[in-house]
Amino acid sequence: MMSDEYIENIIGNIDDDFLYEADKYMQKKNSFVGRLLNGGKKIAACFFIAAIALFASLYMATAAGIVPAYDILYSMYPDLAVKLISVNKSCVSNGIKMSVEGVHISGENAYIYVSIQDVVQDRIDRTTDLFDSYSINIPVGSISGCSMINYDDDSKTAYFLVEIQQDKKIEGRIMTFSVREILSKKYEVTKRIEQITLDDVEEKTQMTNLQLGIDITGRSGEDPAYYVRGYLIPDEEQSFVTVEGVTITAYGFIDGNLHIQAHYEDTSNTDNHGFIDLVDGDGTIIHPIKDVSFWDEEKTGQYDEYIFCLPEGTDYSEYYVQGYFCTCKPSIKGNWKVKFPIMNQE
Amino acid sequence: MLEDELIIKLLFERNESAIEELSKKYGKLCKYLSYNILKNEEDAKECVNDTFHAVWKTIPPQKPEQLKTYVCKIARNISLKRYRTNTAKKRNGYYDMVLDEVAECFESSNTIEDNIMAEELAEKVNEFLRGLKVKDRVIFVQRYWYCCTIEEISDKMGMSVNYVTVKLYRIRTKLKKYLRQEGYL
Repeated sequence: MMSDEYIENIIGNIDDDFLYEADKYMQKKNSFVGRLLNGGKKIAACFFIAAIALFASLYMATAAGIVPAYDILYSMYPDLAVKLISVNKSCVSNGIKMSVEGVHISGENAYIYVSIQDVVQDRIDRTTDLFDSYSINIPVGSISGCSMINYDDDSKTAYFLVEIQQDKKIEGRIMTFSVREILSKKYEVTKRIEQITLDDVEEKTQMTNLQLGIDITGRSGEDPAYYVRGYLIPDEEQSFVTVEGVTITAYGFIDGNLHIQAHYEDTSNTDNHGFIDLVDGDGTIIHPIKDVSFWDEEKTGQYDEYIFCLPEGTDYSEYYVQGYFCTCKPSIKGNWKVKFPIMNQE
Repeated sequence: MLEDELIIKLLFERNESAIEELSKKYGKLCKYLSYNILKNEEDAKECVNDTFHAVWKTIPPQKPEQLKTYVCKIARNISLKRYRTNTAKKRNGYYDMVLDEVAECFESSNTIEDNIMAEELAEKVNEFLRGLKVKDRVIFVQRYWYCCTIEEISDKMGMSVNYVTVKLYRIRTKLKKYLRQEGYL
């Protein structure tokens, strides 16, 4: 087995340029524009409120198919919309039409306004995202963000704004924007898992209930390094589906710690994920001390085992299990590629 | 905040305000990096102070092109030394867990340490990283060099925790395959 010092030496010699790139990438992602275009996690409250109001009014207009793509963008980003150069080029793959509505290039930044429409079925909705599979054909490194601007129920069209920043001025006359996968029909829920009655959970400390050689893909929780002797073997008698795509596969006490195991189906194609907490009698949420992810036998889905360490003598009848789950249908694969002329407006 | 060139100029002039400027500009980042390894506020603070002291001692004659990366590397090395002293070979800390994760990329039936210098293997790792997409490379470096948690990476990158854990697993698998193909494992 390799010594820690040897491995530290390898990792410690990662190229300075990559360290700089990683840091710079994070700085740009943390910028206001980065936050704005990054799924809206940290949108400023005032913008968020304004966006809700605009979205509500837009919804009525787009429901009638009145408001064209440009006007949708103008209502949200007027400064950008007036600079947009119309492209109106599209392609169809797997029954889904992708249109590049417009583009604005300025210096090292590119803003690409895209619409996605299902022309044969009903697969696109408000939860659609491009699953990080979009790219443009530039030879140098870049960072990017993508955010849904609007969704039109009538035409089943989702509008996205993609922002790309590269390290130097964007040059050239042609740009190709491509997408490989689309995720849609997402379902999110936070729910009490009634089937697990905590004061009735059995002891599973014996080795016959444990598995040790699992293929761990990740660890998290309040103390990811917390030592555990082993993990639960899925138990058919305990298994139940909590939401489509997520199965609780085992639960029990190991060495005084409560383990709850869930299986997320087909994680590579669906991004199914979630987490499990305990809630006490006062409504306080208790997070697992450790959450370990590992592959299932086929390496298509993942198990997550949530480990809770509560004081000895805890009255578990006061607690219940709560899960947050985000699931969706398998990704829609295709080969969407649009080539269009560009001009740097800086 | 001063530009890096001016801070380096102050260091060359042996002007002690350089330390204050370093602290203002990079103190928070160094503390973040150190804390990721040590998980202890006081130790992290001490390591940050030691870092600026080390920068003062080494510039000049060093004149780094990227001051930020230079300072971060010193902070990381000092924190690792402190970590080893603290844990005194007792494994099971957060940093050891991160190291274990990446160690699987270099697992081999051979004792390759005897035959290959770490620097040579590091160069191969850099070659591998060069071939990755930017996002994948950033995730790898954030996890194994900056020692960020999966949650921090997923939050900063706007990705789910699940996506980040699977992505890291795939990158490690690819790296192991690459090293095997190059004859290093």
